[in-house]
Amino acid sequence: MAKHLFYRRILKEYKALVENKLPGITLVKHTEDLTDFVFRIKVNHANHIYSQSDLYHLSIRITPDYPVDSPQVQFILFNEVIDLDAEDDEHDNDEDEDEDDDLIEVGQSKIPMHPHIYSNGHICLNLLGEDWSPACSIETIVLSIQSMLNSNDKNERPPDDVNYVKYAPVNPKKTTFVYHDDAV
Amino acid sequence: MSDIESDFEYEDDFEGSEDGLYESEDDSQSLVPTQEDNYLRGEYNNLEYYPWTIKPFIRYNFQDKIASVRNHIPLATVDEALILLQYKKWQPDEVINAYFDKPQELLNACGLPAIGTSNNQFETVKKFECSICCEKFRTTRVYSLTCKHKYCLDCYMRYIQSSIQSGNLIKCMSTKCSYVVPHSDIDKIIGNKEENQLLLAHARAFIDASSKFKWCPSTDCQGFTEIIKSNGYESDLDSSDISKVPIVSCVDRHEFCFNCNYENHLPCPCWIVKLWIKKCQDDSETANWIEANTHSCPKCDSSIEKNGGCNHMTCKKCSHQFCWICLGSWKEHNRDYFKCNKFKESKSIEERKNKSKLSLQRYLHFYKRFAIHESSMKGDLRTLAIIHEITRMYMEKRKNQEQNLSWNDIQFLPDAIRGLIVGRKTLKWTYCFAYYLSKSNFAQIFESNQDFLNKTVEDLSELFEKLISKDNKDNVVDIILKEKNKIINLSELIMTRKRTLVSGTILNVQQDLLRFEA
Repeated sequence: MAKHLFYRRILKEYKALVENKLPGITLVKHTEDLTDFVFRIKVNHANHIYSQSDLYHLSIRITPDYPVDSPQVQFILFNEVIDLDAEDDEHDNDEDEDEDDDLIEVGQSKIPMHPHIYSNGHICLNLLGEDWSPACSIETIVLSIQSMLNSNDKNERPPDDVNYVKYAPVNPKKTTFVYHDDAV
Repeated sequence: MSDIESDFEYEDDFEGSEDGLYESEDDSQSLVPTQEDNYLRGEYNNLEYYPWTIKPFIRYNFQDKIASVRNHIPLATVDEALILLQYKKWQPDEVINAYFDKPQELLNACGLPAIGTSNNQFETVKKFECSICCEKFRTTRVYSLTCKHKYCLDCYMRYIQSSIQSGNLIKCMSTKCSYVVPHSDIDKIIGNKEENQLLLAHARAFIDASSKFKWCPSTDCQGFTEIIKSNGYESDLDSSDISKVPIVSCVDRHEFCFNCNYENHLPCPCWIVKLWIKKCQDDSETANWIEANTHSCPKCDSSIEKNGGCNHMTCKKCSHQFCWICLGSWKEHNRDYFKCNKFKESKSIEERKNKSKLSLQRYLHFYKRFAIHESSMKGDLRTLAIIHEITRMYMEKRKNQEQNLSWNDIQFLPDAIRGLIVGRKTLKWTYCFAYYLSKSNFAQIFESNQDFLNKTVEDLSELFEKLISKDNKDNVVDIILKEKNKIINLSELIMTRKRTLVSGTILNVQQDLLRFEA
C-alpha cells in the first residue's frame, strides 16, 4: 500500500507517543502504515462514574487528508480490537507490553458514560469537527478525550442517544454534530 | 441586449479597477437575448426578480461596500475591509459603528491586528521544518500571518483548499491562533487563475442558504435568480391559481419555477407537478398493473399472472387449485365450469380490476406523450446545436468579409430556436395537466389548443431537421435563408398558440371552468 502523503508527520507523532508515555494512555495497537490506532484510556481518578478497573478503547483512524482533515475517532469495544489484530496478524507489535493484561481484562471494555458520548462510541467533541486545525495531533485528541472523561460528573448518555444510535452513520465524521454545550 | 442588462446599474457605475479586484464583466451569452416575451422581470405574475451571475453579484453585494468602509477607516486595506465586512455580514454601517465603538473587540473577533499593522509574509527560508507535514526543507517558501506561525506553502494550500468550500474566513493553522488569512493571499496561495476564490465560495454558500435566491436548474447553467418582490405564491402552495406560479428566468433566459426549482411547467400548477413527478417516479403504476393483470392465490396470496388459456389454476407455491374467474376452490365448483356460479359474488373484484386497468391505460396515454416530448426536446437540442454552429460559422465569414452578409439576415434564428424549445416545453406539461383534468367542454377547448400547439411545434421541428439533412450540406445557410419567412411564421405561431393556451387556461381555472381531479 502506498504510504500516506503525510507519513513523515504521522511517524513523528507516533514516535513521540511511544517515547513520552502519557499517564493513563496506552497505545494498544496500530497498523503498519500508521493509519489506524487503538488506545486504551484510563481515568486518572476513580469517581462514582468510572472505576479504575474500567477500560475504554479509543479508535483513531487517519483519513487520507490528514492533517488538514480530522481523523475518525470513536470508542470501540475490545473485541473489535481483536478483530483488528486478525486483519494484520503478520505484524508483531513489540511495543505492546501490556498484551497479557489485555487478555485478562477482555470483559471490562466499555463505552464510557458521558453526556457527549453516544452508546455506539461516537463522540460529540468540537475538536473533532469545526475546531480541528492541522496543528492538532493524535496526542491532542487522546488528551482532550481523557480530560473530557476526567472532568465528567454525570452518569448519563446524550439526551438523543436512542434516536441517534438508531440512525447514525457508521462513520461518525458523517454526522454533523451541534456543539451545544461546552460546559461539560 | 438591453432588456436584461440595462436594469443593473452597476454595469456602468462600477467599472473602476482597484487592486485588480474589479474586472470587467464578460459573460457573453450563447443565445443573443431578443425581444422580451411575456415573462421577463416584472412582467409576469406580479413577480419581480433579478437574474444574476455570480461575478456581478459579488461585485455588487460585497466588493462595492469596500469603499464605504475605507472612507471611514482610511488606513484599512482592501483585504482588511473585506474581512471586517464578511464578519459583519456585509453591513458597512455595522462595521463602522463597531469599529468606532469598540475597535479592539471587533478586530479580535475578526482575527486582525490593529489596522495598518498586518504583517503577513511570503518568504523563502532555509533549513525549515514545517510543523504540519514534518518535512525538513533545505530551502522552501513559507507563509505566515502577523502571529509569525510559519508553515510551508504546500500545507497552507491543502488546508485552504479543504476549508474554502464553507465560504467562511480561514484562520491560521496553529491551534488557538485566531489571525485570519486575507482574501488576496488565499488566491496567491492556491494559485488559481480565477480571483476571489473565497468570495466565490462565500457567495455560493450565501445563495444556497437564502430563500430569496435559487440556482437555475438547467444543466450547466451558472445563473441564479433573486426574488425582489413576491406575488404571494408562498402563502398557498397548493393553490390551483396558475396565474401565481412563480416563473422566473435566469440570465441565459432559461425559465424556471422559483417554487419547484424545476423548469417552466406552465400550464400546470405546482402541486400537480409534484404529484405527477411522484407518480412517474414511484412504482405506483406498477402496482396498478399487477392489480389489473394478476390474481393473488386465494390461499397463499402470491401474485399469479395467467399465461395460458385454461382457467383451472394450480398455484406453484402452495399447490392450491382454484378457478381463475371466481377465485373459488376448484374442488367445490368444477361441475359448473363455464357458468361459474360464484360470478356475482366476485363482481366487485372485477370492477376494481377494470377500474385500475382503465386508470393505468389513461396514465400511460398521457405519460407516453409527456415522455415523447421530453425526448423530442433532446432531439431538438441536437438539431439546434447544429444550427447554432452554422450561424456561428456564418458570422465568422461575415467578420472576414468573405461574403457580403449581414447580421440582420440571420438574427431570426435564435428567436426561432427559442420558440421551438419553449413551445415544446409547454406542450410537454400540457399532458401532465390533461391527466389531472376532469372532463368538461372547456377541457375539450384545452385539448384543441393543445392539438394546435402540437402541430405547429412538430412542423417547425420537422422543418429544421429537413434543413440540416445531409442533402443540404454545402448550402445550408442559403436554404435556411430561403425558408426564413416560413421559420419566422412558424415560431411566431408557436409563441402565439402557447400564449393563448396558457392565458386561456389560467382564466378558465380561475373561473372554475376547468377543474382538477387528483
